[in-house]
Amino acid sequence: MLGADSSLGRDELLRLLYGGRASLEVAFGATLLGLAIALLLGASAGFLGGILDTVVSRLQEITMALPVLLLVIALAATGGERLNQVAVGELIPPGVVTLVVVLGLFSWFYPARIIRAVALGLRSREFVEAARSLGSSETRIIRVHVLPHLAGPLAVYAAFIFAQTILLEAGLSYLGLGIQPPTPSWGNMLAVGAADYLSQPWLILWPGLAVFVTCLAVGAVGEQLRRRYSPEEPVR
Amino acid sequence: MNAAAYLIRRLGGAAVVLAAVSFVTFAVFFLIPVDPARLAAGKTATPTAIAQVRAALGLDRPWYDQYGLYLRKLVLHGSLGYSYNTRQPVREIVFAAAPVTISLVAGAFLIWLALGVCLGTLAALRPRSFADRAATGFAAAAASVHPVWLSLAAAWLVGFKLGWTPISGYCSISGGGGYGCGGLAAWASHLVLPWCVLGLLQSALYVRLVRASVRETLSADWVRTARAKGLPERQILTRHVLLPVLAPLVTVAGLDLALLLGGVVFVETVFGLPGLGYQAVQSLRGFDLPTIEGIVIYATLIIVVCNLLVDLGVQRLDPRR
Repeated sequence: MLGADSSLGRDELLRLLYGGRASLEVAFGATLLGLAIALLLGASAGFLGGILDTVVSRLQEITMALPVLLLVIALAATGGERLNQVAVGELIPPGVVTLVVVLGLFSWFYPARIIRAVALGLRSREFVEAARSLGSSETRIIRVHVLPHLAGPLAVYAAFIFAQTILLEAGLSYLGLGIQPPTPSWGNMLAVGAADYLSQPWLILWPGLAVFVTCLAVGAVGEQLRRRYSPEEPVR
Repeated sequence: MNAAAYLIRRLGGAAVVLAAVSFVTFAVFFLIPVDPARLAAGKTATPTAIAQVRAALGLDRPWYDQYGLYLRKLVLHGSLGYSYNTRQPVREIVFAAAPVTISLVAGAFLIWLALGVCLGTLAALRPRSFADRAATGFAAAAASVHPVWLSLAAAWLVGFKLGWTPISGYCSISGGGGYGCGGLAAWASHLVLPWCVLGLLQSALYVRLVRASVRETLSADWVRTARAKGLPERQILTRHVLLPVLAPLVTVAGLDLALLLGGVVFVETVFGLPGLGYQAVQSLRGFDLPTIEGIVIYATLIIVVCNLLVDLGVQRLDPRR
């Protein structure tokens, strides 16, 4: 339906669908990893305070000054040499693990800050004090009284990280650092198309459009979530 | 005295950041199962030749020794070492690539600032109007489009189909640098397309930011007072609404500029602009550790300096002071 690619005559539509699987796997995995780190560091720093809070806050200040994109690319290139060998049959093609780890490691900075702020505010709220005076354990307080309040901001950031990761996956795979051919992903389809884009522009049209539409949709969901849960600041 | 203490604290923090970043980059390269000595020695090198290269590059020493030596050279001589692949001093590579990135970012900056302020203000002044919806839709689209895709599409449409601009490549203003062409017109014509693409992509955040802050300021007390005094609407907009919006705008723009000046990877790669991002990708393909390390340190330095300047500048911008 969408034709075939130039060098090997592979069906473009089929590759687009399979490519979506790799791209979305990366986006899901990296978002989960990033949010898990953000939740762990942010919530414990904000709610428990003390030395942990100092360490996490300093760490965050350092991350502010990181040339993130350069480091992501460097890590994907070097770590990829090892991690690309990790694959689980058809389900998780080579390159997915690399991207999940690298992108996940670099996406917790902003959400962690917000979660820390929310958790800090919760620490001295009446219902937490009440639970404590009733003899609830710290783990129970965190599980029952703190985590539900963090769900809103987490959901908002999940959407934005998801969209970001799709774009980054496509970028890294375009540079040849992400999903390894012959497994298709939207990014390395862009790379295949870019080799001959002046004479066959439709080969870059479809993967690009897929990325665009997916990000637009996820972004719209994120925007709605933000309106609902945390109207305070525009999310980056 | 307070300001001096502040400055010392910030500079100390900057040193820590630089050390951490250089260390992380260095450490990352020891993860790879690729032998840089073998790459540097060439394809047909004998094992003894490889061993010689390894000794010459200092790669036979433990990694902490190599890192210590690297730091010492950097601090004492300002040297970033030599590229494994071309044997050029890394400092020269960085200084040759930096003007390209600066040219690209400077032009794009003007575009995204103009787009952001104009569209954002327009949208904020008439909430829920057609202009508002168009501006927010534009911002959402610009945030979702892939830089590589937009660059390729622009190069195809404007550069190839219409033939208005060159498709790729770079020309310096002075004609130097070995690009084979020069002059202001050539420089600008090669950069017009990248400027527009980068400007469009970046403007997404600014449209939203300006729209949100203008709307917030429009409902501030001092705007109501200015209206009550009967000031002309134009004066209210420029003096009482847009001036307070400047501080958050400068904060975000400063950080964004800093990030981009360290290398605009995708736009540079597609348009064949030999800037820092392009250079970084090239040297990663050859596992050229010194060059990558040099670019990362340079990029971090720019970010640190810009952060400091922004923090100092924003305090002066606040009209309430």
